[in-house]
Amino acid sequence: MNPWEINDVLLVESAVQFTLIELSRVCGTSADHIVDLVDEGVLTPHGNSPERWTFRGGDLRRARTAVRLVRDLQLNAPGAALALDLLDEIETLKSKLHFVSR
Amino acid sequence: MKFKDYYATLGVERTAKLDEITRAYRRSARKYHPDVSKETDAEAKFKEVSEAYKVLKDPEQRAAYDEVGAHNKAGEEFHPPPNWNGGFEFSGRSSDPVSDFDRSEFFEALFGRQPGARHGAPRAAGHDRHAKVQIDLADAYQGARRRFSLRVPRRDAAENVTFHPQELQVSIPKGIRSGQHLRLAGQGEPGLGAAGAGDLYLEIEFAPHAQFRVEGADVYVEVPLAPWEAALGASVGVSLPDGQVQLTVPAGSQSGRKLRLKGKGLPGATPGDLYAMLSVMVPPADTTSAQEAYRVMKQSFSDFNPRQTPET
Repeated sequence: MNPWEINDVLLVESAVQFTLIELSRVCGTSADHIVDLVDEGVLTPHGNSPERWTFRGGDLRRARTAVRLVRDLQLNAPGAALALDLLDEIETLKSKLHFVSR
Repeated sequence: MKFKDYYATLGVERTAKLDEITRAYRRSARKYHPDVSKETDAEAKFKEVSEAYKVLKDPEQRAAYDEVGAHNKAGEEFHPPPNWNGGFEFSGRSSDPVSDFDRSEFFEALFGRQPGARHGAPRAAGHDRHAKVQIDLADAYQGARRRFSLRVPRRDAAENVTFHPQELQVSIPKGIRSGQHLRLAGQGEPGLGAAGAGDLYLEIEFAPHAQFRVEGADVYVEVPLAPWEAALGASVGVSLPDGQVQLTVPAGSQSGRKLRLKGKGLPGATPGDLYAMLSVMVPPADTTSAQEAYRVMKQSFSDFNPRQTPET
């Protein structure tokens, strides 16, 4: 099978912004769930009302992780927020540990 | 195809009640969730327990599985009975952790032709799809065109799902970092009627590399040195993902010293740095002349006590 050359490619983290509706769709969840995550401080969009929110491309990873945690582990938004903070902290500690243990 | 024992996967008896199955699933899900777990094969195990739970939590699917599985053991060669989808009709749920990408061959053989996971009003625009792909670190340094092979679910008019391999060729932009995403417009699921297709998101991951470790845009490489190079200083060649650099090791370097080569990490608007982690290797004393050299060294450094020297 010949590969299919794809030309319309964007690097999400530098060239894409999402509205609330777009981010919900990309994450396969409802806008309400995304609003919950914003209320918990997991995501910090620009704009002062949900219809005007814009999320940075770099939010995609965090949003998707949060949505997976909520869905797969039956967490609520505060639980997912806590898990994400702890995961970030583990990541930081690990990279520090890497230097200490050398 | 091997038979899968979903009860064993979750560690429950065949007679287990739903709440027991749910508890077992949640325990395993927390343990193996790929976002949380550092177990090897966490992702594969998570998919297994999710698939097992998806079937066992649903009374219809569990009954069907039990009927088929009554005479099978895990790992045994398994063929679905003839006319197997004939007598059953399954109702899918869209919130299941097991997406179209993840189902095992065994699951597909049993339940794969069920009407798709969509329910309610048909959507206008197609779903977005996601896949994780590995690239080499060198691709991120230089940019590259890479070919990926994905398994793509397709639904026919009756919403039956089948899988097709799809080869895609994509330009990897220079400077991309692990965990970033490429959006391939219109490469998701087709939309209904005139509505647009969804997009395909590729999450980038660097293939593990024996020499390099990447953190964000910074790249770490270990540089082994002979004791005399560390003590007297040296200029040593260091291989980077996109070529070689000459690294000046200052005299009096110790193991663990970190030398920064500014801007030699991943390229970009704010390029990362390369950190050379010095590591002094002690040559083996496996010949008489090598042993003699160490003895001479011992005499020359009669004041040296490695356990008193403060770290530099």
